[in-house]
Amino acid sequence: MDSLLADLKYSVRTLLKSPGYTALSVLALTLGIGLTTTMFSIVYGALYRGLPFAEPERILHLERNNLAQDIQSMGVPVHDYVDWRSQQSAFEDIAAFYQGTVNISGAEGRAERFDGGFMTANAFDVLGVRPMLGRSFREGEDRPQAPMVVLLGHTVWRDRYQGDPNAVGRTIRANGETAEIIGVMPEGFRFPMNEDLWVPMRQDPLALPRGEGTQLEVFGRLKHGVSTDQAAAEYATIARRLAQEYPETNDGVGVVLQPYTEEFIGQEPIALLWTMLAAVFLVLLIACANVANLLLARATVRSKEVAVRTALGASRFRVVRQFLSETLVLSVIGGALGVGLAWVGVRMFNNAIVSTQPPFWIDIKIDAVAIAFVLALALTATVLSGILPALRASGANVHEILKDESRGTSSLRLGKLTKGLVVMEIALSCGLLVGAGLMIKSVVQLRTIDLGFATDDVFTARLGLFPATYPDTVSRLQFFDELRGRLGTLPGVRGAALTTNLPGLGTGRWSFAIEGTPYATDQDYPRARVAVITPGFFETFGVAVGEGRDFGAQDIRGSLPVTIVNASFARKFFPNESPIGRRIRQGRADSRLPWLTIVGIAPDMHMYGLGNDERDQEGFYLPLGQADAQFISIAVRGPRDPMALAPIVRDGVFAMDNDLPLYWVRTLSQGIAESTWFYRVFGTLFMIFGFTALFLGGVGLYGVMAFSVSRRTQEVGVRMALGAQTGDVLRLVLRQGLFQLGVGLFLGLALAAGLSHLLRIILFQVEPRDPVIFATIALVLFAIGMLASYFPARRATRVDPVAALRYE
Amino acid sequence: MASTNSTLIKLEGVKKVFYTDEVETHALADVHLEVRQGEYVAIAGPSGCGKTTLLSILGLLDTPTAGAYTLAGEPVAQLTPGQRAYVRNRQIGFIFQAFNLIGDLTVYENVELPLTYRRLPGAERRRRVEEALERVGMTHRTKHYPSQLSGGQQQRVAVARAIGGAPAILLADEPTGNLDSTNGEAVMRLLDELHRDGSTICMVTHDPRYAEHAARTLHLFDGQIVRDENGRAAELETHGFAVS
Repeated sequence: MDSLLADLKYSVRTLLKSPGYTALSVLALTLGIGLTTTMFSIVYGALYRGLPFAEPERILHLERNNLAQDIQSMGVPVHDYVDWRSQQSAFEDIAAFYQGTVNISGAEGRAERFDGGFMTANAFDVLGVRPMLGRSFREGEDRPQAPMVVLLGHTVWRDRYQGDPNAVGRTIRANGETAEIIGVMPEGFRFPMNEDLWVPMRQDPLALPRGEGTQLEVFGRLKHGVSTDQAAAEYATIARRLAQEYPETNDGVGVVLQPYTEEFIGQEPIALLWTMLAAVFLVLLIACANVANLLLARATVRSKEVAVRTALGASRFRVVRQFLSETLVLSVIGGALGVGLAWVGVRMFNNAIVSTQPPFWIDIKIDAVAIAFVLALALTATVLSGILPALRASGANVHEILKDESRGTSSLRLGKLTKGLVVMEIALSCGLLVGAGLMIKSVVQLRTIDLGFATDDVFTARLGLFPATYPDTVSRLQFFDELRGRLGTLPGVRGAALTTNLPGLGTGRWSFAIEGTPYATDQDYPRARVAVITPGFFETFGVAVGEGRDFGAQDIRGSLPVTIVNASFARKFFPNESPIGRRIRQGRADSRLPWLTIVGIAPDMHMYGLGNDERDQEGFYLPLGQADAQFISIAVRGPRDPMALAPIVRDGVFAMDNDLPLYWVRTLSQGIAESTWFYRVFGTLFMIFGFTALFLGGVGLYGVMAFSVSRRTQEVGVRMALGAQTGDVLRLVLRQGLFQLGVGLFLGLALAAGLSHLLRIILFQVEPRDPVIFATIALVLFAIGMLASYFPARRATRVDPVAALRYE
Repeated sequence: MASTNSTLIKLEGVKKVFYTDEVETHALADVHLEVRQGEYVAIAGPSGCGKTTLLSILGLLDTPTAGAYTLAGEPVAQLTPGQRAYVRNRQIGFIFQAFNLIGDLTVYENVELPLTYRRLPGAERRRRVEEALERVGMTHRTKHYPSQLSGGQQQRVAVARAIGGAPAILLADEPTGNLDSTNGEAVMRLLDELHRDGSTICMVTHDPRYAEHAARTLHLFDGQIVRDENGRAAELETHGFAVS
């Protein structure tokens, strides 16, 4: 123990004597460990911390699939849920929910809109969570005619009801219905995703045809001793039974069981998180390679010291330990600073995603797990960085070194090991930088993309009308008509419209039939995106219907049902003819919905939403006057500061219905920015990784080349004495860097090709193998590599041969 | 004995002053020297007397602080570094005390190195390398690396490297300093042979036995030539040493 302490003491003293080397090593390890810990904390917080309930690993999510129709994931109709629940035995119980808007109003203040969980009555029992005040739902409260009750989330209770314990029992209005507050859930509980409050899901399976109704999410708590596989087997049997019993709705339908948290993050983001973690490990590897190279350089310089130690009786183990203890000191300092860096990184990440409302169980923080991870990383970094230099130093020929230090070293040139490490650094940097380059292009595309319609000066907001107050289409259309009229007369407004789906934010796809086209099976029907809009929609966004006409006041119920298709739709489904006058029908050709006559062709307005995948842009619009909507978005192209409209619009809506809250109040460009956070946040993270890699790789190459040149001073002196010109010396050093650069870039581009494929889901309108990015990164790295070699090379040309030869 | 006709090296009033920490050190003070083609000159003197500095200036590795240096009839004191490298490569061959072979190059490549700087065609380089190695008796070790050779063998390779380019003058700095007496004698015999074949040699040595191999010995003291044993005494201007 004493000798270990002595080793550590000596290490500290040695490191203090070389502040430049120590600072560079600590910086490399801080960056490597800090970034890795940041990413680890994100992955751990998102994927492994799990639900904050008792035995969260027993809570599984259940959903349906239909592999025959290539559908991997489908919601669960209430009928299936009821059958599953009555026939299964693998779970203690299963429960269901769907998410939606809950408008709350009452004497306590203005109406507000909240994210609500519509839960079966047993949901909280399955989770094993009790309210902190009051009670949860009782059996029967989820029946269709049951009185409405509300469970408040802690934040709503605190902010809207000032944390008043007497709020429980109070009568309020929820979605237009009289409701009683029955309890308050504990702080932090926001199941199933990010809900503010909960109401019972009141669906009657007997009132709906099988398969219809709101699609539910189902979860259950596995019984003790039952594995996921056993549960899956039981559910497969139930699914087969239901398929036999109800072939029209359940043929080919299977059940998928998976951990609850995985379902709500999705397979692609999970793969992305792992890719990011792997990428940041590469940064750590580069950092370790840097430190290893610096240690190798020092080992060469300290060969005499090692020889003396060995001559004095130090075993190889002791020499290795001495070197490793130095690396350990560096790693521990790097680890400590890395924790600080990770703390900053995690804070920045949390700030970046706060507006995206991540699922409530995602808790990204630096905690004991992260600290344990840092300790493991520090030890790993110690071994990765230190073992090779330690073995190299301890294995040198002591006799030769003591006789003649310069001859004891294997070579005055870079050893194979050092060269290999540099090649590895360049390759890893190249791989990461190509990723970063793709991200930069992606973020630039996001910022500069011309969507083809106005976004900056368009004020948007959303509201929902509930059956309790607006029981039918007529009442809703009346409300929407009046609202649009009011919006159009606001001062400074250049256009106002209502729509179910704002452009650029995504729209669902529906199957449809083209009149006169035969369809043999349901799978043959084409699909397109559908949005309901009011007249003035296109004008509000600064675009015009190109061919045909826009919707007008005449497009109301009772008049000819019409539709406007977008340019992609016209191109794809009517490639050699004008679609004007042709008719389409939503659903199957024999559905009860009316045939819609195409009256116009509008430009494409990113109905898919913004993403790397620009397929499936085909869509058509329906006039609100001939359709219906429960939820609608307001779009007002307003004055210079569109957000100045917020209080005016809010007051206008309040004047029409003081129970109706406005939500998602923002400009369209803000909405689009929020919808593309994924690209920005992960793109930025990857850019940080890439530039860190570039910095470390550049510094590493420079360090190695500079050291190599310093070790070759005498050789350069000899060469100059023999007549080498400046150009000869420059070439000599650059050629050495060039070879490593070439091999490193070759391997790096191959690595980049693989990595970029994994990154495709965070790329925005960028090809994963964008040749310009690949070529640019290769050139940039080449230039930096040459620069890193050039400065030491130039120093070599300034070697004074007299001094170099005298130095021998 | 080779003929000693035209002047190959001429130093006139050469001074070399080093400045370190505001202290002036006069390494060479007003040196006048002529070396004729084919001469074998030993430069002797105690440590720190300026022998190596003189050799460095003769080899164009260093420039004089003042004075004129004419090599083969051309003034060379004011050449640019590039021009000096050019002259060194073609006119001068170096033999160092520590051999200064490059560890990662084979014997053959070490000898070839100065010829590559001269941009000679490959066949010509090969011919010259083989001749030089044959001359020093090292043709059987062409593929060896310096670390695989004894000290004497390394110095013979260094001599081959020095003569491969057929320089006008060979400058040897303590060529036997790192060798035992047997190997030292062998190297000296090699230099004698080169001299007999017409090479002009300037050799720094502090060992009187080896200095005797040269036909002429310059004795340096405090940066000045205090005795020239071929009979031409240098003038003593400041120290009052007797000239024999």
